[in-house]
Amino acid sequence: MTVNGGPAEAGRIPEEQRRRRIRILRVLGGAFHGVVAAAAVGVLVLVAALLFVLVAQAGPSLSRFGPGFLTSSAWDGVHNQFGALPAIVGTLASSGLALLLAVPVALGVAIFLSEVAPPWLRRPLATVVDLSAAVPSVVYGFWAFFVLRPWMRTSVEPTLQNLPLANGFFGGVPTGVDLLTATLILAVMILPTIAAVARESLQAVPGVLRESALSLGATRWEATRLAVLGPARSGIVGGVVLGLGRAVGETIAVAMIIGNIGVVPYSLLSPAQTLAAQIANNFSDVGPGLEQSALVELGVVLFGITILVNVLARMLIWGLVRERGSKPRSGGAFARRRSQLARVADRLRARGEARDPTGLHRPGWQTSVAPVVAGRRARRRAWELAVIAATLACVAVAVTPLFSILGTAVERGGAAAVTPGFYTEGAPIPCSPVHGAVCSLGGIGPQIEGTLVLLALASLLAVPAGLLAGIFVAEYARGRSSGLARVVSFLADVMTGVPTILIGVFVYLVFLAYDHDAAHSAYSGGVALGFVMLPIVTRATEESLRSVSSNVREAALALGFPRHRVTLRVVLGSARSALVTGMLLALSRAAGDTASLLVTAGGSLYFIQNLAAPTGAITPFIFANFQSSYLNEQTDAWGAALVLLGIMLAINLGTRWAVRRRSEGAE
Amino acid sequence: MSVSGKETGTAGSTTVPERKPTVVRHRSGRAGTYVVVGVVLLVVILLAVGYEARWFGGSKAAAPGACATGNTLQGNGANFIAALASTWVAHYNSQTSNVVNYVAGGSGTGITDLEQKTVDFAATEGPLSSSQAAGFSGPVLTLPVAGGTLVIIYNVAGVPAGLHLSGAVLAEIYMGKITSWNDPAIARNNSGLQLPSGTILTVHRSDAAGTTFVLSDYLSQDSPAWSSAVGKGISVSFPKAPLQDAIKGNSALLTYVQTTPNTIGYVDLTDVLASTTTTTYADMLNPSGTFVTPTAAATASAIADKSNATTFPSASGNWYNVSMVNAAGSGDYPLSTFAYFYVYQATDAGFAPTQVKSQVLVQWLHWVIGAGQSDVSALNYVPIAPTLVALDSSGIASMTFDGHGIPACT
Repeated sequence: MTVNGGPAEAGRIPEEQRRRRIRILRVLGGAFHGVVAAAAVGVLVLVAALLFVLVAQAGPSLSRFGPGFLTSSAWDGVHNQFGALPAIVGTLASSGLALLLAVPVALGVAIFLSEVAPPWLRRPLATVVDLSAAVPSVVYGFWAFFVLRPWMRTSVEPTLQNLPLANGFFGGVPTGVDLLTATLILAVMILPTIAAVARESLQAVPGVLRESALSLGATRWEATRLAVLGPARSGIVGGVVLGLGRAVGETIAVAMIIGNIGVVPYSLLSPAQTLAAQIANNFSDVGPGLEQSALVELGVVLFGITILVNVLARMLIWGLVRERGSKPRSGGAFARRRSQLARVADRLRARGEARDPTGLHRPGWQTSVAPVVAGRRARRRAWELAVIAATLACVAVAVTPLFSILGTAVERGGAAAVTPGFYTEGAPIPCSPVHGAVCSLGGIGPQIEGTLVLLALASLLAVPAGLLAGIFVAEYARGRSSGLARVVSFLADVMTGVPTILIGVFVYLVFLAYDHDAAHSAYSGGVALGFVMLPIVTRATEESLRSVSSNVREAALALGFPRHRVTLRVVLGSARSALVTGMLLALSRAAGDTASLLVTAGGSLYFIQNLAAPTGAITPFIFANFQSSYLNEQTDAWGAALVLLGIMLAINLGTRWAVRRRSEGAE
Repeated sequence: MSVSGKETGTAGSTTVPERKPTVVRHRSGRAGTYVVVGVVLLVVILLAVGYEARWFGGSKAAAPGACATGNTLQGNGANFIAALASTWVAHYNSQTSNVVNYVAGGSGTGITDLEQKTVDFAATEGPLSSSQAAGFSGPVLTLPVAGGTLVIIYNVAGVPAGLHLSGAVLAEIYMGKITSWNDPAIARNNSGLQLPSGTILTVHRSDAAGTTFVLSDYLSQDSPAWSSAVGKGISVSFPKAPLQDAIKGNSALLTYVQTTPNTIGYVDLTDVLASTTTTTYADMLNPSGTFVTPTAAATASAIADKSNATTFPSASGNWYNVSMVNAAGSGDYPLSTFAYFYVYQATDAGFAPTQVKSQVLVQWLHWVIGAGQSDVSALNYVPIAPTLVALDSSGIASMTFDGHGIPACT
């Protein structure tokens, strides 16, 4: 396509026409600026509306119970007494404990992937760990219920109960549906997130620090501990807090396994309740009234906690990015690097000092190689090997769930997935082959169609809006609007961590008020998923555009292109494949989301006949049928999980492959 | 966008042809991915647009007197009758070419959806109280459509099916007062059994459920303590027991009890009998002092006996105190219940009302209490008696759209 209005043509057209063209271009440019700014403001307005609707809906409960809501354990619809304490304690306990379990393993994985593993192994292993993060939460919950739970109930929990001094923590009877199992599945789910951020932070540490530590005589583990972990610390902490945010907001998997009893947990084997799970389980049960208001107030509390945690995480991670990306002042980088190296040398020496017969004190860092006693060296080597073994074990722990999930899904749902009718037929009459009953398998055709249609609707909303808002943030954040851009970017980032059940509740309430008959419909489900996608698309656009070298922009501007053309043609063109990758990841997130659809889409047994009518989708179908006592429904649910896993893995592996080919092509 | 490979890119830097792009990019391998992704997105969007055209054909109106076809009704509610409802909708569809989308989302969801006017009908075993009914935007009809059996299931090592339980004992178990399986109160009625000492894990529904209504109705009648502390409803605040769990959905609760030792729970008979795993369930004490095994026949007998002793309100009346629990006959199973459909009497007050849809709704309701009753027994539910069919019929006949009666089609 030719770029019109470029300088090459400028000389050949009459002055008057040229002026008119410039005027038109100015108007167009202004209009474009207006549109992208409007999209950015739209993101702000949406977030504000979400908060406003939730708080307004929680109003009756807020005014009735006041702050006492947070400390009351009651949940009694008959006597209209409601309190959030069990859910708050359950949320904090499960996510805090999950963090305790996940962080050491995630660190081990990150160290292995960044420092220990041979280079050829790093990428495939990192891919497997990252893929674990793409498994939908409903599938994790499904797996937790059928694989993790029996194991917990029959082996782990009885063993824990027999530990000395453990009675206080593991009182009660092992059921496998309790705080501990919920904690474990949360740990499994946040592990890949923490590991990915930690790995990136470790890899961002300049290689020269590692190498100089090694050259000073440190073992690989010592180099990691003394030279790498320090500089990577703030990034790692950011990842940990991000993981905490995920755990706090996790809804579906926890709802499937935590026991859903509104008691303040008395032990790790006690059933419990979390804020998100309680809303997901009960919101569709209650009509307008105090109980609904109280449930929404739980949502407000949850919103507050997740926003707080996510803001903290972003600040830590962004701090790291700024640090890494800041331009070196003249001499500053060298000085900083030198002082970092000196610190590493000092630390090494401090450890060796007790055994340092020469008594060298504070020589220049460049000349000091602390002499190492042979016996100590052997011990240090053994220590290093132990650490390598430990990190390897961490990797094994981290990748096991993904393979177990895939294996279980293939084993239990494979028979369904290879039946052609499974993709075209509707749900069967619930049936088990007992008393000579002949059962049909049925299928999930309507659910697959529903998911595709919902994703199409969501993309229609989220892709243009997110793209425009992202363009504003990345390209038009100058002068007065830079504050707005920063806020939009930050909010979009934080919104990606807000539990999607809250988005579902918000969209449902808004539809109820403004498009009542479509409150449970493809439209409301599509809008909810669109809202799930919007912040991801916005951030992905921003990141992709920022990755385009500013030379490209400057060159195009210098050639006389108007700003909006530079953005639309040159910058978007250059960032095209990164953009597509971002969109696909947003799509994959939406495809795996259950919570936002639970209260919106409504569910259907049939193919869509009307977009304003209730519609089915794969994830709510799994959630509704995962514990069915009917054999054909169980098989269908596992088959659906397998199909969903296939879709998610295809999208994620596909984008990975595309990104790799792109980066290889650019070399 | 014009295509530029590596070759054209380098050529462009020297000759500057007019129609070359300004930016030199390396795109090897990218075009393919982009095309694939683009095509996929395009297909998805085209699908949506294509369906759109088909979907908005509108409902097919029928000639006067004839029945409309191709319409969809939305229903939500009890999973107590999930198996029956899915059989009904399949048969109704094949006989009338109309579609009923019944989502067994639980009684609470069904009632809420009807109240919020997002479904055409709801199903539950827990009739509305007058204060609940007051929240609706118009008068609702209560239509009993089948009888059913609530079964007390348990999973205790060494204890076979047929544990003898009374309502009073069950109430104490669910109130956390009887906490172990070998409690004397349980042992008293089970002299032949070797009861283990395990702590009882009580399981109830986490969502609002019609089965919870039937259980709490029964426990309220047999235990004054339960009646005053908890009461009856589809969603009650279960007292704290030493061990308890809450599960969403009948079928899931059944699976949970089957897989967890020392549990006790409550589900419908059909789910129990249709399960591939053998489930042990209790014989319940009825008012005549007999422990009765739950069967469809024992429930049919209970409903017949209790119906004789009951003056039913009209369909537009309040059914909150109608109870099929604790029939007096010696063979009557005490935890018996009706499953009800709820609809707005004036369909205008309900979900997206049209004349045609109101007609289809009436057709569906008539079908359920008529032809649909022949599906009931095979699934271990109990067909409703002719007196109730008559009561339902007059209720359905009282339905209106736009102030006028809704003409039945033939």
